Amino acid sequence: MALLELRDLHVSYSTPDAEVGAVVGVDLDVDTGEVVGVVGESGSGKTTLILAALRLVPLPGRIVKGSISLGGGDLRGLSPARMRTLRGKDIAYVPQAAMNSMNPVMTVGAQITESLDLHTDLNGRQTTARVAEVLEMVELEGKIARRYPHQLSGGMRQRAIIAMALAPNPQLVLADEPTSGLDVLVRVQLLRLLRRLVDELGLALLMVSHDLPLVARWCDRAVVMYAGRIVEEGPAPELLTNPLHPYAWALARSLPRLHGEDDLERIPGEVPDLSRVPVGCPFNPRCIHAFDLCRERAPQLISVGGHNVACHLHAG
Amino acid sequence: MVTGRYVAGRVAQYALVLLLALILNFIIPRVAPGDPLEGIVGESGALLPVEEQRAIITRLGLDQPLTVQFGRYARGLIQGDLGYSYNKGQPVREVIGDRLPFTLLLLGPAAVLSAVLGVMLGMRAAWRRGSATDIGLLGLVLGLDALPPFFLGTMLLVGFAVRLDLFPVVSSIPVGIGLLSLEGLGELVHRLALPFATLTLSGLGPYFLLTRSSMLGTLGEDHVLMARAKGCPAKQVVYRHGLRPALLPVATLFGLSMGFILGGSVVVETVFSYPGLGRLTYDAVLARDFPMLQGVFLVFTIAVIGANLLADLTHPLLDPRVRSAR
Repeated sequence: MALLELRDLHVSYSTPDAEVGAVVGVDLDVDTGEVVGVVGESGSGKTTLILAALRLVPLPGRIVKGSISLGGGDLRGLSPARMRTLRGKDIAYVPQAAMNSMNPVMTVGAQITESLDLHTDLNGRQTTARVAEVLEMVELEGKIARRYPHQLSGGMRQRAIIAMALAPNPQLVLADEPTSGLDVLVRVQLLRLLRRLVDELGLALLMVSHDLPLVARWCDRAVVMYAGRIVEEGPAPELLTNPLHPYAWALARSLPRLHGEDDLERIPGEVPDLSRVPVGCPFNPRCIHAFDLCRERAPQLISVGGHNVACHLHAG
Repeated sequence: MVTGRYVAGRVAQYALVLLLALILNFIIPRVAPGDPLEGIVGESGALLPVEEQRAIITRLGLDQPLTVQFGRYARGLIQGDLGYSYNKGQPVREVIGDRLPFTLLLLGPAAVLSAVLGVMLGMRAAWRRGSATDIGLLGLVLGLDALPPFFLGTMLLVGFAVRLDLFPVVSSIPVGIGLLSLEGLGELVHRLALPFATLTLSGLGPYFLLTRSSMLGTLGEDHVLMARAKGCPAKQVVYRHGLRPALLPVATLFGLSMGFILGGSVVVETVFSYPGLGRLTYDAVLARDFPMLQGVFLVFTIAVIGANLLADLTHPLLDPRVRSAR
């Protein structure tokens, strides 16, 4: 049994016109010591997936169906008060680096202390020591504790947020594009840091990204989402080199290369409007291999050569 | 850090503003229509023999050029002499000294309570955006805000003092009121209640609206989602992560609204016959009592500038970003 198990998860946003399915029938496991990367374009339901696991989907969205379990315990049935004590304690959240996710009028130290006060029984001295310890863990100087967020660079701020997330010793970290908006060098440093922390502390990390090579390089397992559905899942490096689903294949082909032809291959068309997802396979209007069946019936995830893929091409 | 240099810079800036205000203070009553003579001896002033008219004008120094009058005014200010009231026949400083405590007693608590109440209601409305509470409060506060203070005061007076007879119609304070005894205090509260309510209710609108919109802004910010994801309880999310950063513009509003509340006091004190500076201003205007007006305006000016200075100096304490921008 995996640490985090999502089963047949459905999350919808209700608009006056339609019920928009942002996450549709997702099954996903994340195990201790494992880094799972979720890849997809904007609007593929990645962020909603993370917020759903925290039960923080903003209104008018809600979890419609399915189960979320952590360490075998069901999260969907928990009272809001009980769920709140789990947030930050067992499940930590690391937001996008580009966001202003620290309170602008509190020092970094005060914000880490707040997490510790909420979730641990440490006394004042122990708390101060723990703040210094987690800052050191993310390779920041202790004096950063007295700084305000606006006094830090983007990379330092993201490290501070990781320190804050890890301070109460969570088991699972949910990271929503943790490195987007940072420059390439800082991004690599941060990913190396995250990877090291997962290995050293025995964490489980679920990371969302739109960057396929990044996921291929740093994650153990990759999940490709399209229109709220998982279309392919497999070992991370392989998903880049040997994708099975036409969408994953097209994604991998659309990456700029240092050597080789100048023209990038584009995926024709655009991400479907989630309130009007095509009948059959949601990718069929953009798929160069689409045939009649693709326009009639949605493919199920099936196991093919170590991958799970939802595509009629690979069925039977 | 709030450095001494920052404070000194601010104080110097406000001192300059004060100086400009003093000059305006001197000019405004003199360019306003009306004749001080009329105020001193009444409508019949014009009937006095010309020599007597001239004698009064000379005695008051009103025949001197404006520059000379200003020089005399400025010299007096420095010496703490605000001049002599034409109308009351008393030094202006004495009259103001008598009235100031009453105004402070009324305005201070009203200014603070309208701010606190406005902020608390605004916060509640923002947190429950779109709910019946939010819409109800919004309508109520906008309605209150649209009522001019004199009208609100008159309505309260008619309703609670005349019809229901719960409060006195005239809020003047009896001379021998024993403020140290329980009954004395009770009597004071009883007499102050209506003008206090009027000022508080009419000052609350801007705080409510500003806090509500400022807080709707902060509640939508990323750090609020982060706070919830950290497991902060709702109260902590609202106060520490929502309200605290939203308070910055409210501090500025406190400085700005001091002018409105003083303006309101002129009307409200008059409606309730309360013996404060506002009432004094009203009487002085009617009497064209220049020195009195200048004296009262001086106090008002200092109050408004002081409140703004205070707001400016607290800003860096509230917002670390302002602190390090210096």
